[in-house]
Amino acid sequence: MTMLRRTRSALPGVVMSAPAIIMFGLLMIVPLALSVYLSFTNWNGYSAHPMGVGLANYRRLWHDPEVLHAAWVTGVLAVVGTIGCNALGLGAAVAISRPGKANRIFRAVFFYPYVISALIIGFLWSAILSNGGVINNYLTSHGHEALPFLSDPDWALGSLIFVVLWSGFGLTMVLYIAALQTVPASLIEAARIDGASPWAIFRQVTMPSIAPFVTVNLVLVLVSMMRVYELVLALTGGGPAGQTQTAAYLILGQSFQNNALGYGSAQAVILTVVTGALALGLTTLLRRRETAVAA
Amino acid sequence: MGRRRASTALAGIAAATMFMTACGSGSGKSDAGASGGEGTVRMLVNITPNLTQSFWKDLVRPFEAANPGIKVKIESPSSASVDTTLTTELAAGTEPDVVEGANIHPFAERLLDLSGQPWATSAPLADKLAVDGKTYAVPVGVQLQSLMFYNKDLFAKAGITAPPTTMDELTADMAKLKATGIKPVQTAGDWVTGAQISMIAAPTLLGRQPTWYTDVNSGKTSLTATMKPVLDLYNSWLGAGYLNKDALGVKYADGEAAFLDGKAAMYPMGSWFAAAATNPSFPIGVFPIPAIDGTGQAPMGVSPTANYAIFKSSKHQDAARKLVEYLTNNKDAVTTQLKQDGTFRTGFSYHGSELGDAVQGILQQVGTNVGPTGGGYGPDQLPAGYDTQFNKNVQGLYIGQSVPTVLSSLDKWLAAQPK
Repeated sequence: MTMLRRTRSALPGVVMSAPAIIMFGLLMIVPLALSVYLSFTNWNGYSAHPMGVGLANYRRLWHDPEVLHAAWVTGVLAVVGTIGCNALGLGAAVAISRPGKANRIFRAVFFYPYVISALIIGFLWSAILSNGGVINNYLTSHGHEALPFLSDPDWALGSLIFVVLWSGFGLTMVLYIAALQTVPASLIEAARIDGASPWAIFRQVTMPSIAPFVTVNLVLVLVSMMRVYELVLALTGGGPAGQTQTAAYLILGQSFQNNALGYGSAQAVILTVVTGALALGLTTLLRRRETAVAA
Repeated sequence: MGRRRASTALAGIAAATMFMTACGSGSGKSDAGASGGEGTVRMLVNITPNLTQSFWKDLVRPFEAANPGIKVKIESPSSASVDTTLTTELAAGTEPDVVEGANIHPFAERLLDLSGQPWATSAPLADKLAVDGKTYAVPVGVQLQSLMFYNKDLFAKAGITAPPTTMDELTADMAKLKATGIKPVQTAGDWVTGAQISMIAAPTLLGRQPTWYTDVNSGKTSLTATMKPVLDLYNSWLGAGYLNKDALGVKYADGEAAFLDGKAAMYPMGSWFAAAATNPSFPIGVFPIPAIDGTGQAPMGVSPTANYAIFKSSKHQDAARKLVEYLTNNKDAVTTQLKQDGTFRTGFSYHGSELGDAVQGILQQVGTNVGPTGGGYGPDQLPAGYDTQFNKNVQGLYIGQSVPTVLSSLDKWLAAQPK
């Protein structure tokens, strides 16, 4: 009887969650499993029967200079992008979180790039930064040398990072604004009465209160930085000389332009594992810190 | 069916795991009700600034009028190109009936053998595209690749009275132009850097080693062993300031516009540029890019254009065959396509520009002394992705990499590709 009752009470939950579980399985687990399978083959995208190649794809990618360079670019983007987006987002949130017409306008302006397609943003900034773009046209028409925003490898990576930050910090800003609303006003008031400086209040009161939001923001941005693709496609095309290719950009190129879906899958599997591990590691670390601060 | 199911599953994984948005055409197979010479024929085509959706629709309209039972549905690539679109469509089993302008070699076994059709086998370069002696693709015309367009006014200003016929003369002319304060050659980033170098290299490579593609593929020779003289020469032009050093930040369209604005004296480009150079503000000439060796007629790099192929899986093979025959043999249809995309075919002339006539003259002059450029086509084809890889690597010259480094990277890449 107890068993039957338990089953009956669990049934609505199972039924309600079944669609989500089925969709998750079909759209995430099955493709992931197939990707792992493909990574052990030499499938070219056309043949009906991929040939097994064992660990050859995985061995190859450790010696592929393009893969290693793309991993470096992705790493730089992940570190600078994650820290930059959060620092800018938090700074902007603190500056404009109070009610007011001007602040509402600033919030809309800062958040707006986030809602635009990354491809459009890429093409837009390409039109601004390319040699024939707005800035260089202005410079050359005023007797100055054009700046190699997209034609020099270091400048191009800098340009990519700038556009990533510009287009991405709006989301973290909105989340931080929401977080700041949750900080008890009484705590801030008490600290102020005790003579704490604004910086001390921010460090000792605000930050501990919004720590869970910081964790979420850092992980969200980190994961998105690990798979930057459209911006690279539209802004630099991976160039110059392939120097701004990210892991996601290279995977797509290797897979479809080179008809090497097996090799591309091996890279995708590694990227998925690394992204998952980083996200999990960061979450664990920050949760531990939150607990320590709360204690 | 099992095969198709497996392929469909594999396509799913490719799309989902690689952060790819779904890019199937969404239209599925053609209507199954019709058969024989009737029905709706799905045709996947290249969409370019010259070849727009409306151009393709207008092109097939007379065919539809003459064949009331047949409708032609023009499909645009749903991803970067016809080839990448086909990769996903073939895997998912949603390939069209007819495809235009695809690299058919990797999936030739899935195409209809047209070897028994004289109208197909007699098409330009059809023999070069044949796989195991069988004709699967029917080109409409050819694009000449190894061409150098030049600004006649700027040549005259630099005291150059006739276009160069040897590489030494070409280099000397660049020096004269530079000394006159004129930018000698317009280059660009995007895909252009690699394409232009391939165009420049083809006459030398094909002249020295007609079996170059086969030899590179078999490992009998390498890029380091064969392409170094051309890249050394190109790099010396770069070092001497004959090429614009900011090329990698210049888009294809901007590079073309710069030449048409009179900002450079020469522009290495394929024959399609003749169609784009309408109403130039100065007279434009064209000459075949010479080989490094000798003064004789160097081979010309050419590529087939608008090659049409029919899939075996088509439920409307007769209708598709009629359509392809019309598009590749009907005088009006062929001429319209040639004119629209600045391509050429012996025996089919059209009233074009003076520049177009000059290109047609070069085509007649080179005759059969032609071969592929870049990644090649048909059996003379380097591994998939070669052109992209070549472009990435040779752009390294602009950021200070040496010729041996660039060529060694390419050789390593070639060696790593599945045979």
